[in-house]
Amino acid sequence: MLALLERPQDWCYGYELMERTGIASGTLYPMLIRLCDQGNLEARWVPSPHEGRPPRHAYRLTPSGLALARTIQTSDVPIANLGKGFAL
Amino acid sequence: MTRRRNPKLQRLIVLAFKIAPPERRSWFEAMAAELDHVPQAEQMHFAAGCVLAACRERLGSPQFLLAAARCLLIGGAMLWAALNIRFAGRMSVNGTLVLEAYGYVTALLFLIGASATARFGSRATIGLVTPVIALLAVAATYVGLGGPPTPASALYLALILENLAVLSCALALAGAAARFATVRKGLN
Repeated sequence: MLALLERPQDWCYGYELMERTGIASGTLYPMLIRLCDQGNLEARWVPSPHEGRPPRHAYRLTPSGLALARTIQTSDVPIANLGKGFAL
Repeated sequence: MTRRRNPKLQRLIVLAFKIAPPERRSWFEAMAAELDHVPQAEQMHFAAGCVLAACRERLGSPQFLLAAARCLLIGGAMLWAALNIRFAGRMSVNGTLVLEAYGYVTALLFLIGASATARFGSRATIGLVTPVIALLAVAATYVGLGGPPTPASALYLALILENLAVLSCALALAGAAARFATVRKGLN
């Protein structure tokens, strides 16, 4: 969420988020699914600028997601280490 | 026109689609589309992550957990019936009657449990299974410690323990399903 908060107005792609957070796809996508279910994330299909490549799914925080992310940012809650480790 | 994918990657993506619950299909379409934008060196890792995400979504699905609990209860009833057939012919008439009565009551309870789970969800399983487990635990203690071991008491004890194992698994699955359902309800 904090990675999405860096540029709240921009749409981010899954791979871009993986690079920025260091979280692997097998962990990141279930998290995105949960955030979307909670109404904290919105997703849309964006046409690819590269010819011959399929559209991409892009994500950004909703107003409630932004509020939650700002709460997390300002609170003292320890953030779990979600580094790659053995995750895929 | 899309680029042709490595067959191994394609197989992993197809596997992820097969594992993923249908209600999450659009997310796996998103992952499959994203794969074409991932650098080639990382594509295999990304595709394996798709399979892992699909497994996580499938295992966390309350429908899957409830179906597993139902299958376990019905499987338990069938196993019980099979054990009855296997052992009933070797026992006295009285021994067989007690075993049969116990067996049919247990099988009936299992089927009621399966039907109640299908109708009312995992909380029904928990409500039904918990007292039966307590009852079976008392029965196991009584049979195990109540007198000198005989072949018949050893058989009863084994069958009670088998029931306890099946019911404990069903209880654990139902508990997990109830937990996921609560979490999802809280999220929505």
